[in-house]
Amino acid sequence: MLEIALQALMILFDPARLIFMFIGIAVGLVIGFLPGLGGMVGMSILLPFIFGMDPYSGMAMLIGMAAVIHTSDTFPSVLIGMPGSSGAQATILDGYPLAQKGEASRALGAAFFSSMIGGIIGGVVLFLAIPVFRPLVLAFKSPELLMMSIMGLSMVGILAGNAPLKGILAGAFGLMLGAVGVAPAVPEYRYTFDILYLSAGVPLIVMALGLFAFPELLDLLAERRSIAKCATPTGSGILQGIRDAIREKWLILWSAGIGALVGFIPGLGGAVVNWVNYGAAMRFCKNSENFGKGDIRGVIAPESGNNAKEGGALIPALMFGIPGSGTTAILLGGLTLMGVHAGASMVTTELTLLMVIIWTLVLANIFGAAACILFSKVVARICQIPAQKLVPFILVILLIGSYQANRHWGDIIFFVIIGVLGWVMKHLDWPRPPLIIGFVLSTATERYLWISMSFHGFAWLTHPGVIIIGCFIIFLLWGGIKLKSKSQPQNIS
Amino acid sequence: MKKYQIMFTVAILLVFLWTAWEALGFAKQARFLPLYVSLVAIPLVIAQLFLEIKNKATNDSSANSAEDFNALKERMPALLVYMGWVLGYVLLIYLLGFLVATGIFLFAFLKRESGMTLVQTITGVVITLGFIVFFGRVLHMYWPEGILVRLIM
Repeated sequence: MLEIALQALMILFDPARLIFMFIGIAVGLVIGFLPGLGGMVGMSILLPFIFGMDPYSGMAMLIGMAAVIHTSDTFPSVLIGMPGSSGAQATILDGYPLAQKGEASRALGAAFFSSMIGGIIGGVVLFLAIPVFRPLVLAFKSPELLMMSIMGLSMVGILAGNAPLKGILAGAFGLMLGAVGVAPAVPEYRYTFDILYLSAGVPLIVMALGLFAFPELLDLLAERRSIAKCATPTGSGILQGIRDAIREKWLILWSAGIGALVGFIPGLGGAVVNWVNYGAAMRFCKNSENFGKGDIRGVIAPESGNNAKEGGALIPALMFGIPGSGTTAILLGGLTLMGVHAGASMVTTELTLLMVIIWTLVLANIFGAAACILFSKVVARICQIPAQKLVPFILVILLIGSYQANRHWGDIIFFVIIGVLGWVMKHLDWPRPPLIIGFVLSTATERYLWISMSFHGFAWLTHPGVIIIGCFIIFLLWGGIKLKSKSQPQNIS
Repeated sequence: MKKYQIMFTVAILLVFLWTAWEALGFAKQARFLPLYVSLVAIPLVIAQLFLEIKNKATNDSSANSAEDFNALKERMPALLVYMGWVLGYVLLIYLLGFLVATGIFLFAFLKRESGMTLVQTITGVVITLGFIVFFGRVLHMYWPEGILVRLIM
């Protein structure tokens, strides 16, 4: 396996692929420090551009982007007390008070260093998971794979926060949208209204861009969001912050471990990880009375955890094909676009690709943190750009991206239609990640259900693997709901 | 807000009723997933609708959601204006093609909404179009052609 890991590193070091990784990192850094835009928006924006790429380059770009979002999302959290993404909420509690005391650079330095180490640990966890899960992945047949799809679908309730019923319904709606077009088992067109464009179904790219990116852009414009009150950090405190982080090395390791573990559980995203880590640090650190008033440990713990989460989250996504969040759902769609399927192939024929993903995760975290440290003054200035000057350019990119799905006018029309649907869902408190998970899992669920029923009838329900996974789903749902309710900010404070 | 939530839930219910009805007409192999998903979803949507109607009747809402709704109401005119910009841009693409439409859209938006100076606006438009053409060639991307351009050609 080490030989394959080295081979993967050589593949990634091909200059053409490094460029794509750096493009991904740059996009991830920008998305991270723009409040309101998260991994799903970044993934949706980059997805159209992987057409025609080899899987190594495509994954280098997508993973490079996803890996660094939780590094740069610290900027708005520390500088203006607004989370850059849902995974940076807990950082505000101590990061912002530090900035108000004039120690913004120290907080940023500690956060970037912790993020980097956390991200590397996440990559190592993913690497170590391969020999553990490999025999399990290879033993799975259609009934077990169907149960894994159901496991992914069952997480939609958790993803919906305090509205699990809406989450389930959004997931079901996603399944139905995924059923549009030709049926997988028989040549029959479903819900196409005799529109030729819909015969192949709604493209994932159009779906993701419309559902996540379009509503955020519209709101950014309408809110006239300008974060001009940004305090520009001075460079002198960065090194002090790094020294603080090194001194708290055990806290970083502990938080990264929790981050990777929570990331592994589908449905619990960065929003949960950072609060769990903050709560654990506050509970177990000595002299914790300063937490919430500008304690540097309150920055280190959530920041190392939310970067480590990415490695953990990729285990169920890549090895079992279970997207635990909207971001991994779009990532799985991206893999399919490049002709690669998550699951058994990732630990057999596509092991090199899995290693490239791990290396990208590690390297992107290093380069991302280095870029944030080196260019913190410039980045702090970029986050002062008002939405009115930024959004028109992003809109152009979105339209280019959606048109690349089928190169058909329908792509643009459906982008706007789904965008409006996404905006309505957002403002009526209907969760959107369950919809995209249902959409992505629709074809696989239908295929495995059909194969299982054709070969085994209802007897597939009595397979030992199916029963074990069924029990595991119940356990995960119970644990997930419990963990999510405990990690609410009000419980911590 | 609750009124709109109920309306949206009713719309979702109608969609599931329609998908279930349509699924009855599909071949057996094509019917499986859409029919059963719709049949499971319908009682759940009704339960959700019942919860929303109950909440509306008891006026059970948080102060936050009321504040959010008021803020949204205030932003609505601006939202409609920006939605108009998006639709106008799409219409321009349909008529003039992607590159020309993008140039016009960016120039108009940056000048009128972003408050940029003429030099900044022209620089922004030229750089963007340059990037689009460059990356379009490198990544073999395609743009929609305008109907007017096609008529002239």
